[in-house]
Amino acid sequence: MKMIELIGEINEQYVTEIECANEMYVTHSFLRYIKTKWILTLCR
Amino acid sequence: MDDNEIIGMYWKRDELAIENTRNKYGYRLSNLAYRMLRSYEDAEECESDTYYSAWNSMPNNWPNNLLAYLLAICRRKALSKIEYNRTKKRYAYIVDINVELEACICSDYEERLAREEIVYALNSFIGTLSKKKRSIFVLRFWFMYEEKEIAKRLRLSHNNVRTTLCRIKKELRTYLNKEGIV
Repeated sequence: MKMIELIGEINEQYVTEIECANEMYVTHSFLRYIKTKWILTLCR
Repeated sequence: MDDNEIIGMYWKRDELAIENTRNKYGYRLSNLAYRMLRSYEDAEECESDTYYSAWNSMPNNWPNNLLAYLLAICRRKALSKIEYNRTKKRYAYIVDINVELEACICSDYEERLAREEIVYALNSFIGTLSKKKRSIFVLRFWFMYEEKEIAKRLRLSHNNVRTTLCRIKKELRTYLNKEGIV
């Protein structure tokens, strides 16, 4: 039994939370990309 | 495809369940395995072992969250592989993470405490953390991210992540002490 193994047994909800945040991160990055593109188009 | 449909396929012993799982979550599983094992070959093997374990365990289980269930299996498989090949240098990173964690708990915890007792305390501790700290803690110790990867993912500075991690470890030590675990 090692601490690193024990951490693997924490509540599923904490792991799921990270996975949902991951999806949000991808969406955020995409939106930021679109926003930058849009600003650059306006500047032209 | 919906998770419940995939689980239903496992229950019906339909081999397409594995194909669908691979299509939906294969990347995330291999990503976790690669982060831990640092070898594409081993990560691929670990991913396949995860599907095999899921196939064998599913008739008895209906996971609440399929992805979390598969990730937990994958993580266990990767740790077993690391334990088996523990002399390999590329696993030093995981050993370091374990050392970081074990510094928060008494050295004889393995003899003194039951597994459930520690997991319960860890869950309670994580529950007390703010969302930011919780994400950093779980990314570091569950998903085994490096500090700079956490910083990039959470859009924080590397220094901020490092400082927050130090604080979390200190808080964990204090918490375990208060709970009589240390």
